[in-house]
Amino acid sequence: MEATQQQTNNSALGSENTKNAGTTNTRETKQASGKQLVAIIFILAMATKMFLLPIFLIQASGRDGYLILTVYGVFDLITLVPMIIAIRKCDVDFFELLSSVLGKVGAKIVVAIIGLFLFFKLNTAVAEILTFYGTNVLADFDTSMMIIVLLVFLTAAGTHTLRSLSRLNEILVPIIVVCLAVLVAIVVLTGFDLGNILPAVADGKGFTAALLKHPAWVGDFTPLVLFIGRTKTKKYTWCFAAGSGVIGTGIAVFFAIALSAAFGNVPMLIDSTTNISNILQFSVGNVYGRLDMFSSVVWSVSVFIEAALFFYATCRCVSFVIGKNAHFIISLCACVATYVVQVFAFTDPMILSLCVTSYACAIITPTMAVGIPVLALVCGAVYNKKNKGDAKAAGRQSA
Amino acid sequence: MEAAQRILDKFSTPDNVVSHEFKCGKVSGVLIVQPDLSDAATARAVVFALENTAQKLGSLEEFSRYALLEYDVTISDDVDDCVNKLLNGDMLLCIEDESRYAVINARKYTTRGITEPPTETVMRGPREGFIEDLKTNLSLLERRLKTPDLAIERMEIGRKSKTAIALCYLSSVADEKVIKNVKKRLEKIDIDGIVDSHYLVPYIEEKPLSLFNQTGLSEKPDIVTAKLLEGRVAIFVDGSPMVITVPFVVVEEFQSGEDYYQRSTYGTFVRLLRYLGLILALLLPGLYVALQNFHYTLIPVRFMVTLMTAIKGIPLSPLAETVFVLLLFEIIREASVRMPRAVGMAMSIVGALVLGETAVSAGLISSPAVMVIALSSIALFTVPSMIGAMSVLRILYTLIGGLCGLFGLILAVLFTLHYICSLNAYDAPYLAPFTPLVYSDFKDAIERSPFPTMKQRPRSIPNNNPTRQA
Repeated sequence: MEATQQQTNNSALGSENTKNAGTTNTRETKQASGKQLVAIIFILAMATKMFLLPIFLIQASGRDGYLILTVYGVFDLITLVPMIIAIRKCDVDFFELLSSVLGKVGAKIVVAIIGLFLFFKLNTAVAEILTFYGTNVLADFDTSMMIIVLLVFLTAAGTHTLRSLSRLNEILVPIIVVCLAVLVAIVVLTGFDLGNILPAVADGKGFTAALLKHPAWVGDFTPLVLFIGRTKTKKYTWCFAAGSGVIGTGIAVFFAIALSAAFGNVPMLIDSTTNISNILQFSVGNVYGRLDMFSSVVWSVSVFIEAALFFYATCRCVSFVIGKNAHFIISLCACVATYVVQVFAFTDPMILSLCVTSYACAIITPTMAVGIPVLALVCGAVYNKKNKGDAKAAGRQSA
Repeated sequence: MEAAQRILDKFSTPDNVVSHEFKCGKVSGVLIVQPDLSDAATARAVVFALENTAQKLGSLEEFSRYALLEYDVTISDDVDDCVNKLLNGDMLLCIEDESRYAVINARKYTTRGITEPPTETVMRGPREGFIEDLKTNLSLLERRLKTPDLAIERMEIGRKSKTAIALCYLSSVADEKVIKNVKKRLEKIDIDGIVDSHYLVPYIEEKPLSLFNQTGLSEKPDIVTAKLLEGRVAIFVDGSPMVITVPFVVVEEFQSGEDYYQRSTYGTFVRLLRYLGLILALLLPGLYVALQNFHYTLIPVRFMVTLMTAIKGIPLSPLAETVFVLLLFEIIREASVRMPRAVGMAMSIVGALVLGETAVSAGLISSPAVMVIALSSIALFTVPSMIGAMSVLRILYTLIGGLCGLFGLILAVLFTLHYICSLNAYDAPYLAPFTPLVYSDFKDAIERSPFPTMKQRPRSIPNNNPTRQA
């Protein structure tokens, strides 16, 4: 129903916009604007990579944690390139693209696999959020109750449009940037000894083992497939999109370096302090309140947005596979599934840890992270070629 | 007389109208008047003119041309239409052997004078306000927009009330799709009666169940004129001083007519205060409860010591205490709005001094809680049109802040923002120019730029003519 409504709106606005040529108003022929795409890429590049991953990496590999995070960041940036090209080149949305190239059944199978991957990523993000708030922010955090509040927000994200989500992200980015600036200022002003991160890769085996253990955190750009054919872009949007990805990754790496410098040689110390906000040396001090913690908490909305994007993408995949546009019902079902996974399957952090650090995960996640953008790119190229051929044939016929 | 009887038969109590029989030469006729709605002087003059005409008249056209030359007369054979006009204050003239009616304009209603609207008082700028008479309201608008571009489309809504509605826009500026959409929505309304313009609001809004205003409402001609100049459409309703304007974006809630009559720097400062007011009003009680309940480490030590001293011995939990004070405030506010003015003052004293002061000194509630709610409530009034939505939201935020801490509070704010982001009525994004970003519209959003710099109409509002000044 909603998708039909969107299509109607879009087509109606599309014809109007041609007339006005986008000069007088902000009518959106597409679901997202170029600026919103840039903002989303910035958040995706940074959010979960900066959240708990540095802690896990330091716990696994000591002071080389930041290097592993850099490798993951660069890997994701590489996967961002085909994704951006696909968004740039394709005028139809991802599902339509797959249907026209792979056929309806083939497309549904592929989308089902992508949906499962996105659901896995969603659960990783949700588990991180719950861990962060459970250990750092709230005393007596009852996961089974608190997750309901999160799921209400996620259901809203799954029910509404990509446009709403893009707008939400766009309006929150300035606040996130301010929080980042505060955190950077705190980290820089309180100081850290960069000498602590040297020598790099002293334990090659440990480094490789840690590198292979955490690839569950790559593939953050995969939900961007939903922006294919639905983004209104301008000439230099691509440069800004790539730039925001690099900046986002750079920020995550910076904080990983700071954390490695502080705790890289004593990883056991961060067992009870799982986030940068709890590093006491960065705390401004209790005289002024925990500004670092407050900024961290407000900054964490970027992870909420990333989770919402994964949730939205999962719901749309399900919607395509079952061929129904009942977004509210699908969101509700996805919600229940997430609740079951988080409350019953991931109750023990050990299970979660084993799941995300398994070798199966180490193979599947990077494969999907590369495969999805490449698939989008290839399908886009085939679709465009096919369309050009059809247009030529039609031209010949009419001639 | 058959024609007159047909009209009188339409009324369940024919005594409500006055039918006066007259003779004009050899022709006899009946004049039907609704005395409550028509001008008695006009009725008397018409009767006098009819009974004393020297010419020999035989048809309604001749009556209109010779006897009633100085009156606005139309001839109609539609009985329902004539009854409708009679109920609007017109007089009906029927003569023997004629099935048609002459409709003579004799409308005159008692209306109040043009005064300053109590909802939009200003220190500087025009003090005129709309009244309940549509004709007067339209004349107030036309006096400010002396252009043939000003389109006024009239229609009637309400099967029984037959309320006159006027749709106004500048045809060279307003977007055709918006006009078409508004007209379509109005034409779809099938209701027995419209009593006020607020009746139309849910029909015009995209999401009628929403907590947020999606239409502008103003009582001031200068504000409505300015909105029309930006490409909006105004809907006037007979019997209501409130004029509806669409499309509507959230920044309009923070704009006041007076902003434009003051120095732009001060206007910008005041707007910033309103945004700050909104944030304080919405989040302060929730934050207070969340910090006290869950995140006391985030409170600076000096504040913490003061706070601990103040809340010592309070029997209620921070959440219960804050919700109690919030509800107390809402009850006092509602009571003082409904109370007669003379009692209102006493009410405020009882509410503020007796209840507040006594409750604090009795140790039932703490003074920080009273102070937080008082600050939040004062901030609430910086954006008066959003009081309803903000009152509900801040109670919800307080509850969620008290139960789930910052985790819940952040998610609640995200949920609300996400919902607002989905509002897009008449192709005007509700949160524009903040999202989607429209840099040019910032000149009249957070900032109030001087007029010479505002060369373009707002891009957030669909319009056909972006240029406002060369």
